[in-house]
Amino acid sequence: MQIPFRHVQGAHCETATIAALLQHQGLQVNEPQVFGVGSGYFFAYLPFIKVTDKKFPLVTFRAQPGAILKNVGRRLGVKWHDVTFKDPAKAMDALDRSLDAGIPTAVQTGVYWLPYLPGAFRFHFNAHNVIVYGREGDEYLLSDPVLAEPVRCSRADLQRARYARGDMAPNGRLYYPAVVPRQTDLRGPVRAGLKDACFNMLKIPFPLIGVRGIRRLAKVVQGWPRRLGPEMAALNVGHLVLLLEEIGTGGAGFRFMYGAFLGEAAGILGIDGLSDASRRLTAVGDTWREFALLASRTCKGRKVVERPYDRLAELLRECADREQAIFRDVQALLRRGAA
Amino acid sequence: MASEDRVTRAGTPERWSRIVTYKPNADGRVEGVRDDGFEDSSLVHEVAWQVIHRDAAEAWRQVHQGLKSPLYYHMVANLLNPQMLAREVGMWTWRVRRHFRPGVFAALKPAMLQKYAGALRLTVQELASIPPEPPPVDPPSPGTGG
Repeated sequence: MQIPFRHVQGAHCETATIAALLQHQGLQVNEPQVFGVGSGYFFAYLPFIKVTDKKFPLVTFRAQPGAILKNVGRRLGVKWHDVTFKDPAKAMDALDRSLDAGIPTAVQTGVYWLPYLPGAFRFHFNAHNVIVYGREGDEYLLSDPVLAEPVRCSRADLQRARYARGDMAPNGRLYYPAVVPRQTDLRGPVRAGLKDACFNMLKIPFPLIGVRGIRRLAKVVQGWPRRLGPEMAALNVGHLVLLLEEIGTGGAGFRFMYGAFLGEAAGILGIDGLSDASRRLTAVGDTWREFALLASRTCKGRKVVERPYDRLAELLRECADREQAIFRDVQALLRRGAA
Repeated sequence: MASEDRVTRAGTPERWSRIVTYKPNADGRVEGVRDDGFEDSSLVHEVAWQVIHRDAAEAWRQVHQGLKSPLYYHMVANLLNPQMLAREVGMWTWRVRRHFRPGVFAALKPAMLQKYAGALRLTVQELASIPPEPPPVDPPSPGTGG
């Protein structure tokens, strides 16, 4: 059996999954709106959390997995049916039941165990979201938002992926919207999302988060060749590129997607100044790309500039300064709009 | 899906064909477009896979010389470390590490082998052996490590 479901490729698995599920239930929201309303925009440099074989510091460009789902639910009035299971058999049964009821259902999976993904993307990451929209015998029909086409996956493989262990273990988690409002006024939610982003980027009094986090990272990157030696420094900047560009960020660590959201917000709230902010943030995205470009070449050992690590730090500081200016302006625009 | 898929083929595995990104269109509105992705990050993949292949080849050599059990090779080939493998099978790390000793591994009960095999998506026969040839090591590219 198969539920009629429109597969859409998205930039990021969590936001694309939420947008597709809500659209299926008749609520017209797109991926940048989900990202913005869910307060997905973020920056944190967390050296005490090590990722990928416990070798590299965690740098994140978005809110923690699950936060967007929660915020979108709260702000748009969507109630999620969101459960985990101890017993894999029960988790698969629950999935089957919800498919039988005609509900496309999102499952959390470990990407390493999904055999349909291209080889380069088999790494151990446990918070990948996929929509299941049908079953034929022993095969499930999946809409994986990072791929251009829907795919199939065997029951055994899907079960293994839903029970990957380790950090952020999915524990067979599945979710779908149980209550979706008929229509919703996006103005309040968009405003709340923008406020949250400004707060996260500017106000959190902790030097590893927001624009201060970007500046701290700049300082640390500059010291890598001295502190870690050339090989580990190269691998570390390479890892930064993967976090920035390759793990479903829509490019430049979500900066492009948030640029799109600021454009949407300008229309929804009727604040023209936000279109300007949208253009400026997209331009910052280009600078992040420039950073990624130089970082990739540095990782590969190609000499492009003298003292590449100093230049990388310089680019990061430039991004921090410009993002700070943009979010200060957004804050001012919101205040003026409210008065 | 044996671990061999990943590490016994030389070179960098294929990536997503296309990704979605958001770019301004002619009117200046930002919208989603398909994009060939960020080509230069493939350089990072090349370097990362060189490291993975190098580690897997080194693990193969150690098992081949009888210094480590085949379990060790399959752990490395599946990009796991002892902590991660221990969590996959629900045991303490020291116990998993102990099973890297060839003698200890050879004496393991079938139920234990089945546990590891299930976690690594291998058959017990695959788990107890290693590929006849070492995984290929990519030739270092000019200037790597600089």
